[in-house]
Amino acid sequence: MKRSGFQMMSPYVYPFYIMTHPKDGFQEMKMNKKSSLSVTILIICAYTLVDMLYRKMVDYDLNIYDAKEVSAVRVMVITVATFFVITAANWCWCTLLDGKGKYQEIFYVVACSMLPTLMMNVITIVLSYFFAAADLIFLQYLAIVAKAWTLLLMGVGLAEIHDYSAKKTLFSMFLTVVGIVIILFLAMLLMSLFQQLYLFVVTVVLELKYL
Amino acid sequence: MRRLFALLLGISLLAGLGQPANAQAAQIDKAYTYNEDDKAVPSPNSYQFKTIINAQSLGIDSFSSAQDLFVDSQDQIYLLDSGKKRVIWIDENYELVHIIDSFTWKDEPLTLADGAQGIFYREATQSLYIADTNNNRIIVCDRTGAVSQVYTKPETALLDNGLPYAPTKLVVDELGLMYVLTLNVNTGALMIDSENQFLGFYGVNAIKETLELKIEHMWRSIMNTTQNSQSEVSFQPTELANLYWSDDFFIYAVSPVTDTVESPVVKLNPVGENVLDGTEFGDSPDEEYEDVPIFTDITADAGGVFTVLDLTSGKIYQYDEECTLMTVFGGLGYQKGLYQLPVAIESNSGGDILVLDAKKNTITVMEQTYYGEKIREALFLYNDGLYEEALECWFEILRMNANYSLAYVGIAEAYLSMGEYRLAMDYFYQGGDKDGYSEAKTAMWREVLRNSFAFVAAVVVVIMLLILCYDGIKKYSKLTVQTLKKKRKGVES
Repeated sequence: MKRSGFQMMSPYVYPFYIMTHPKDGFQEMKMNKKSSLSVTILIICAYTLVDMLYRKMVDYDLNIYDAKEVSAVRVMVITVATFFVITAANWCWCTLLDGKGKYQEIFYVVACSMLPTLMMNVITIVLSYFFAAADLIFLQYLAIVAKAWTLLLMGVGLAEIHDYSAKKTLFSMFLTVVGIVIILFLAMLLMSLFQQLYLFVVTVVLELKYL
Repeated sequence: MRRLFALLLGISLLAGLGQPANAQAAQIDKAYTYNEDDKAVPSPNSYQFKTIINAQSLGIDSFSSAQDLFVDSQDQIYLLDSGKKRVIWIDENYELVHIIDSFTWKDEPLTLADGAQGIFYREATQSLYIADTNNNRIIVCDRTGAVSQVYTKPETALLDNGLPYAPTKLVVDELGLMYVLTLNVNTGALMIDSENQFLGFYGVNAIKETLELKIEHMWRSIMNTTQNSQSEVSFQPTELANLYWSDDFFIYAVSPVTDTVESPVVKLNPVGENVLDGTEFGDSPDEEYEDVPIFTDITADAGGVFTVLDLTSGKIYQYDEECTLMTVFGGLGYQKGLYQLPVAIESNSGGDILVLDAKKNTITVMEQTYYGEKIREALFLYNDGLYEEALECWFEILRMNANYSLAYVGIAEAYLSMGEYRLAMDYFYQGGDKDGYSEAKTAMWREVLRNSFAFVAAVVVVIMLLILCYDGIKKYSKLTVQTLKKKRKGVES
């Protein structure tokens, strides 16, 4: 392989190499089984942290969230749950569709492809102090570029680790979205069930208390 | 995996439980205002109880379901005591002047029917206009009871809906043109001239474009006439509840809040168009406070400040001409300053507000407090663009009520015009004004850029030079490396 500086590269730097060379990067990762769980977890943690900061610290006039109402727990749960739901949905479909990727690799790919969004969030936080609402469109362009980049990385990465053709990758990504919807639906059902259970317990406790 | 999922669900459930419930918006005996997050927060009173006018204080037999009230520019009060079929004329010191209980027309006695609903006093001709609702007519008389005109239903095909003509409220403009609200007519006020000629409708309530309406509209374009006639959904404009003639040639109109009403409070220009920006009046309804306001009356003063009366909650809301809520007071109850069935509201030249209660049979006079006066003063200055002059007022208001978000915005605007951008940003933030914050930030950076232009320009030039020279430097450094290597080789060999 031509660019095999990879062998010497630290696993913590490697995601940045992948960002600019997705095809080679993911291929080498797959071949050399270089997907690192610690890096994945680190990226997710960083993403959560940046997301929290983003909600809290983007300057007041450009912040679409209410900085006073940001709940760290909620952001954490949402971010982590998002990662798990995406990877779980993809894993479910791709095991059925002869995908070669392992769960850990899918996780690694999804985490790595989140890097542009993460970095753009950091940039947006800094830039928001210099920009006013009139320049918001510029920041929005940056955000769109970051999201497109993320999607591209995810597509290429999933194609590589599952050994899919481009068409099959698109199909599997569409199915992943369907899977996410199904999982969310089930989660909602479960949630309401838990709520009913909770109410039941509360009622029983109250009944006992005022017996 | 399953265990982890359950754990996550548990955490999110806990996160959901921790959310505080929305603060209750309605507090009957305490004044409040809405802060920058649209939450009800306590506030000092803008109006306080001054006195009460009732049959006892006037020394006459008691009122009986009085329906309307009018205060003229000389602060003379005309009370339509519908149950007793009379009009009571009270002077500016709240003392009885005259009771008009017998009307004569062409030397014959004329009596009002029980339940007359509207009264208006026209100063140009010194005549009282009374909407004699159940007799289906409007009578015009002087202040002694001598009737000069009786207007019955005007001749027009547009009013032939088979229902009786029942005028409820009316106002009369400078030219003697009457704007009459009648029961069962939802196409606005009737414009009737002094010859009893019907001139047209005025100020029909706009219909709000809801999703339901759009869907219904779509269906109707598909279905045929027979099917359409069977459709149960109807989109009729809401009937206007009351009118107020303001001296600046505008007519204020109120209507109950319904699903289809675009704005329950409108200020109509002579062509009948609404000139107010706001469409939200009354308490913001939430899951705890679901009572829909029924606005029954409105009054305004020269500064464009208008006050509306809500029958449902007994509350009185005061707004400035930009539809900013200035104060809320009143409520349902037996105490002084609370109402049982408030039906009419008027203001006098001294800024007092008079509220007629049809059940308590009293007129309650509420006077403005120091706080209310300050807010009015500050808002007048602010709406005229005199931000710096209003600064002192706003600080005074903040000393009395730190919850008043508009005060922060007012101060911020003042600082912005004074060039104190950093302070302006802070106050805009506290007042919850994002546009203002942005404006101040832009101004701040523009100033920074202007003051340090030389430095910025120098940095830019240096960066550009570096970029231009980049290739050269690269080549040079490569060359140096190569020569170094050669030298080293030379040394080694």
